Amino acid sequence: MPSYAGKSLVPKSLFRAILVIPPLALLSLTLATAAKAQTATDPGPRPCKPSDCAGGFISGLTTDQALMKQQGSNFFAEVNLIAGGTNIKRVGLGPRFDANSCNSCHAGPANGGSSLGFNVTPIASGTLCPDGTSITTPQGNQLFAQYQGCGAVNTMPFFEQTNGPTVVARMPFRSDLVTPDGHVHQLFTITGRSDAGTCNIQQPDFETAYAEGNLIFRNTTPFFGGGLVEIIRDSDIIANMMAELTQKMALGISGHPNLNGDDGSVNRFGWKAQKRSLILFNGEAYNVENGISNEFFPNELDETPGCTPPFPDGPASGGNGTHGVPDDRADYASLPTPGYLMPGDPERFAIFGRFLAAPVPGQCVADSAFGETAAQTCSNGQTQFNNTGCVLCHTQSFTTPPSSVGALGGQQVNLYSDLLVHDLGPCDADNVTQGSATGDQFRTTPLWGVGQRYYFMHDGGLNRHGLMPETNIVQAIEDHYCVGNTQYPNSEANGVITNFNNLSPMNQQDLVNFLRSL
Amino acid sequence: MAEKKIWHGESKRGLPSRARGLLGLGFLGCWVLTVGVFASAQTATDPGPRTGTAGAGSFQSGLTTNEKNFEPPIAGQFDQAFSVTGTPACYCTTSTGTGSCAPQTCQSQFGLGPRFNSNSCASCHAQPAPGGSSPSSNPVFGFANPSNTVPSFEQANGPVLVPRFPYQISDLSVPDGLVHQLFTITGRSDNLPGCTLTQPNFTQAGSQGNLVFRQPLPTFGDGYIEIIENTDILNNLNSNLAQKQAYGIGGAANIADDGSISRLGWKAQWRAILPAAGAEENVEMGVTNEMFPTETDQSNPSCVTNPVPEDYTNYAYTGVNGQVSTYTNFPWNFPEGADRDAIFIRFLEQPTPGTCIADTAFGETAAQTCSNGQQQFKSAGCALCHTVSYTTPAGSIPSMGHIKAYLYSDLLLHHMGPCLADNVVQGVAQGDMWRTPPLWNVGQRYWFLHDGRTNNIVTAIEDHYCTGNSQYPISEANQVVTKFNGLSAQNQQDLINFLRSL
Repeated sequence: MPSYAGKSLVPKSLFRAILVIPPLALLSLTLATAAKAQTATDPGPRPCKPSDCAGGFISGLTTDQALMKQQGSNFFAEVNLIAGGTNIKRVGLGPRFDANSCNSCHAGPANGGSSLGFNVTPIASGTLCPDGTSITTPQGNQLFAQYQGCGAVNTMPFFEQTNGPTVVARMPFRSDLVTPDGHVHQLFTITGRSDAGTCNIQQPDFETAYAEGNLIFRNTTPFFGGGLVEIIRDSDIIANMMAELTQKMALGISGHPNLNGDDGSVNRFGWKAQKRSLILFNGEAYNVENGISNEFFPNELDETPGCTPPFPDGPASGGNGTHGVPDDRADYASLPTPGYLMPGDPERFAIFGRFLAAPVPGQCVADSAFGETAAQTCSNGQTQFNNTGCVLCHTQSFTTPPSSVGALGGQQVNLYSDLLVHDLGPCDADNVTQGSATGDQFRTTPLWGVGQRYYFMHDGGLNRHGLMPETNIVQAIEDHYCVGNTQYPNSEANGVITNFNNLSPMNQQDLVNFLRSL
Repeated sequence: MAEKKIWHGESKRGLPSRARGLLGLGFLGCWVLTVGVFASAQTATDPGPRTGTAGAGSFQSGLTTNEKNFEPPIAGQFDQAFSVTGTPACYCTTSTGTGSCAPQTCQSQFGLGPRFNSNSCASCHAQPAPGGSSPSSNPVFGFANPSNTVPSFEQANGPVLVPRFPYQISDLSVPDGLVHQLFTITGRSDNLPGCTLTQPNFTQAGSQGNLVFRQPLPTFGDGYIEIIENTDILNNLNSNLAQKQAYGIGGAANIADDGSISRLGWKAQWRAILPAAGAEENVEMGVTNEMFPTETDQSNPSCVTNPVPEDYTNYAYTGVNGQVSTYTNFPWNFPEGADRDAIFIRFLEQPTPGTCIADTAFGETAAQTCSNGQQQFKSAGCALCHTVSYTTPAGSIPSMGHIKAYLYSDLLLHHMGPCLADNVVQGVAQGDMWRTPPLWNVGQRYWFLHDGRTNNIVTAIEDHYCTGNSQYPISEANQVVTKFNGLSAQNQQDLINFLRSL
């Protein structure tokens, strides 16, 4: 059971709405309006069985491709030091960073996923520092394993919780609270680490930013099925946007694509659909989250003297210090024979992400209170999902076109998203604009794999619920409801949530159990 | 002396610009007004593109043998002419001497279109060597066929012009700003069966005042530019502030997704070579890749039958000499073509300046001309934006670190007034803002300014001057151009000859 500040969060609570404390007045108002008929119970994250757990690879890969996928997985899981690692590909951390590997955050329920769940032990554990000490890996939020690792002197920001989502922090505005910022402000610095040389920089002042209402959080988005998502045709996305317009208009649903500024295509990765492809996503994340400059973002996040390469090789060094920028790059000397070229890590992470299979749905929890079998529950739950209008944004599937990676072509992609951005109203607004996604707009989150997720919504609930992790999928549905204000319109989901709340208890429960089967 | 270039029927070569100002036609109202205000002292003559040794297009001399060994295969990728369909061309990069040679290098060579501007990188990035700027002969004239005409704004002996529509052609209140490719694959011998597309209606866009152009930028030295520290760029922004303020010079950084300074492209819209290469491969050639997997037009299913992305990682694993993939040599794949194009550009050396043409009319040697020209360049204030050099930090490719890059740019955006505005917004860059174009290699360029509006470098300087209007402020260069016009005839000419030596 997760807890924060000693308070039980009752993750399966039917009654969270009435437990909400007064400062969250807006939320109370919202729920009072929308949630009076809410009776369903979240059965909780579906246990990860070998047969229905995300994290496998697509079938049909060629021998060559299959040989690469595991290597890609290794790179995704590599723990990066600042310098002195045993391989050129494992150095460059910081000087500011959120985590030291991709799978610190993309961990649950498998490599490539979302935040690791509470009380869940990660797959990898035990990281050796250059000075020979090791980092112990706890359960839950992996950042607690790292923030003082290898001698770092960081304090843990107040919003990170051992049994909470692994979130990154953005500040919508600069310190004048007028000029837009919107960028990630990394949680930690390398100061004090045994491999950090003389670098001495401070963590951001998150307390002040939070007190000013200028601190927003984002949970980790999973990559499962990413290779399928990135090749879905724009024309199919637009055709779906234009489908069932009458019903959408009646419910107040519109939505639009976040178009890429370079080629005008439909961006589709990230909470605001701000990225077009896995490679571009990885290039940004590698610098923004790990502080590892690369061929997409070649300079360090903080160029304070002493905090940029070169860093000296550590005692455990095999001669692989960080010699300069970018930290990560193509390795031109990987083999004696010219013509062999290792691309940079973002490309390799992308091979991994591209070959990750779509999450595999599992069985429903039978709604036995109403005498239903598991199959009946799921069947009716999906019907209710469609009837209430959830599916108008959470589009069940697209089909991929022929692909140069044969195994990715012609596949039905059951992602449960239209890949468009929608207004969700002021309650969830983070005031960050990315491309054509404005401060209250978010991409329809793909629901595949949602049955195994521990934390919901872009912020894992932290902004909206006074730093309490949002672990209840019923609450997540209700949180789609929001009344507009002078700054932002109503949530486009309001009509659908009203439909959900008007469902019979059985239909509501079946819908929830269906979601947890995904 | 280069051959005479013609633009809109008006000779701009060898003609004193005072006369050009008087000859300016009515529709060039802004330009005429500008020249009329301040150009009375302009007497310099453009000696034309510098001939002789290219001084550009070679790989950096400090690269390791391993790095240099990539030059042939990746230069081949940059030069590769794409067709619509086909298979990758694979060949052995070396003779193994141990039996059969598995294909090790595969050039991406298919995937052109369905909409495109040209069919290879090098066709537009050509002068004076692959990686450079627009060639003297416009390559887009090679794509005319019964279904595709060359739009009237392209000229056979003019710059390659890539068109954009600032606003949507169907609704001028909605921003667009994207490239609208010149051609379609319809009518080509390798067209996909049943693919019928029509070219954009450039005539309509032009009549709407909704058609703007950009010419190719040279890429020499971009490998240094992309690793210059943000701190150095900001420190330079904040230097000489009193002088800049007196001149009305500001400057702003375009910002990338990680908060760093974006610095490549006419509006500094790209942070690094690699994402720019991915974008350009699709936008200019229509070749989908792992960064940009969407075809340039999906409206006709018959035009998108190629598997996507068309340019992709060569997953072929089988090595030579029985070598086995391990952690340290994973993977044995060449990355996609866009990656290889980026490596090619990254390794190009910065341009080497040539000698000045001696200003003999004033009794100067070549050395005296260049020395005084550079002095005038600085004292007129040109160098306040066209910053002479930055030095790269330590590089993970060691030979690229601690290099003094003589780029003659601050890598910042500046307001250039309504005369140069294209009304396209890209990030921080507003419709009248442009990145200070690096001037290295400017001595060898045929056309100047973002839309190649002149082939005369003196005119290009004058075109930096612009009065503001209700939409856009005055050009930040106005005071500097006024100072240039106030120079003596000798100093002006020396400055020009200095520029042509770069």
